[in-house]
Amino acid sequence: MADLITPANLSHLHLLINHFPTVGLIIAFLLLVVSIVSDSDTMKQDTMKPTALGVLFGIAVMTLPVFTTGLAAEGAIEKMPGVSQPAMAAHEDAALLAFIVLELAGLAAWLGLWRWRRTHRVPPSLTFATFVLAAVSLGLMTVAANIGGAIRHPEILADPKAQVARSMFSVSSAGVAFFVNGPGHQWVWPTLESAHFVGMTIWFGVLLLANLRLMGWFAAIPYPALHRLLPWALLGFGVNEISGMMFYLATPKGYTTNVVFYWKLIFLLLAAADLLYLTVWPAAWKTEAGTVTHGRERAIGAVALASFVGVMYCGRMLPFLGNSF
Amino acid sequence: MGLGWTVVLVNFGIIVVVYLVGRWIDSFAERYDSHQDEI
Repeated sequence: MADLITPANLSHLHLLINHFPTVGLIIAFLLLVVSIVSDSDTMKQDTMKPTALGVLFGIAVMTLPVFTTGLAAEGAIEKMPGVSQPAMAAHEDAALLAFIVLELAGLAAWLGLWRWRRTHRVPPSLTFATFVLAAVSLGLMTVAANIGGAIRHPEILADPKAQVARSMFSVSSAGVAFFVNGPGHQWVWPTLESAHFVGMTIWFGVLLLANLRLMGWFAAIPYPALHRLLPWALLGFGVNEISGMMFYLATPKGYTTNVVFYWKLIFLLLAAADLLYLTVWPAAWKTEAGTVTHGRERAIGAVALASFVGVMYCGRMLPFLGNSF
Repeated sequence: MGLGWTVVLVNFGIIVVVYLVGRWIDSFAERYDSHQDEI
């Protein structure tokens, strides 16, 4: 895989998968709107709404590799003639704000799914919050994508010779980097490392129990009792995503050229897929006390646990097998 | 204040914040489950 981590391939990958938070987000948003305005109670609660929330959660997860390959693409083309540096900086900062709001939309969507699984209803307040966050992130993502298009396509600008302005809807990634690595801020990095481990122990602890139950352990425990703990796993994921993104923004080149980081991302996507499975899938939910699980559930649990170990191993090995820091 | 103590104190603060946010999410979930029992 190391041979595939070339600037050209990473740029190509970014251009391919950036359709998730743009085109994919439009689809998720439309599904959500249909589920809200539909007259059919079945459409509202049983089919369309969980589908919309699941797609939105998936889009939020996929946006993580979109953002990270974006900085890799920047490193690949920043010295090329005709590439607009101000446009790249403006795109990155606009994308960072859009990414943050989309992650919040994904969080709200996941909470809706979790509650839907337990009660077959999503409370109107949660649906409304998800709708607003999805709408705002769609707008912000449009701004970010529009600026991104200007990096290599000055012909689409009204005035091709004008500098691309920084969007007022943005977060300074250079500011985050300064906060983490700036002079006098030596306490920030080790603190984030500790927070990263705190988050990891929370999500790993909860998901370990849930997946072991799928694999047939603790047969006396009904799965819905473990499902009740899943919001704690999402909290741990949230802590890790915030601290991990701060590491990434502080030293992007330690990650974008590091093959171990891409393995970690792949394992992370598998872990997120497992979280979605544990949250909504009927086969898991119906595992009552005393129920013996079968091959498919056991295999999913085993793959998930292997992917968790992969996330942790790759994270630890970033500076040893890879070239971080 | 030394770097080590700064890290220790901020870490402790983060753990407290994570605990409080977790408790808040958990009480939200618990309330909803109790509500379901009443139905």
